[in-house]
Amino acid sequence: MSACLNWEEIIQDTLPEIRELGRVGDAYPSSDHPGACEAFTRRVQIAESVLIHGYGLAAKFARRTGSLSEVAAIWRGMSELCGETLGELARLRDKYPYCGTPELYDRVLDYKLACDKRLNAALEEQECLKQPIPEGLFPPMN
Amino acid sequence: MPEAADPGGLVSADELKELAGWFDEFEFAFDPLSVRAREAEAKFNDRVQELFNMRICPRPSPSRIGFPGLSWPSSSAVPTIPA
Repeated sequence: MSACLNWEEIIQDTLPEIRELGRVGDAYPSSDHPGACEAFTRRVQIAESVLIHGYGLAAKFARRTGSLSEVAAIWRGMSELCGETLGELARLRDKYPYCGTPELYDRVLDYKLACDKRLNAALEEQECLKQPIPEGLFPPMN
Repeated sequence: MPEAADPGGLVSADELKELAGWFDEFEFAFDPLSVRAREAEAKFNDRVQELFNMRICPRPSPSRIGFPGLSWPSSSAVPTIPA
């Protein structure tokens, strides 16, 4: 199988799933409305699965790329995706308090922090590359 | 003595390999919240701290490690607080 996906495509394919969460959340007047919690819970589950899977793919992409600026771009994109999700959830968690919303909010917050940590590490590493390695710290690299 | 154990550098190639293994396990984990990833990160951090405490912190000698552009002040240049 030779079909390839790039990181931008994955982000672009994930974003509508996150926006759908907001759209479904807004479609009902309250979570007591018939079918509201079921529909919203389903979107919460989908959002969680695409984010968790998206994070795993980001890790794979980051490991395979040879450029720190690309690594930073991957984690920045993933962090923004988490931020977008947090925005929707923050808006809707009081409206849907029993549909898995607070739990997903906590989980996405953890994932966003993990992305930001990796983004900052990549940026820091870029800066470190500008400094010479202290002599005598590491064995000679072949 | 670190020099005898590792003539190539303060941190040996085997230690770098060990650190790289831990780093790989948490930095590129599919699930960053998994116990395995968090354990790997804790082991990495502990090992870095241990190596620093053993090899670098006790003897910050400019003759052993040279930071280009950075020179250590002589003892007379260290400011003292008047009594």
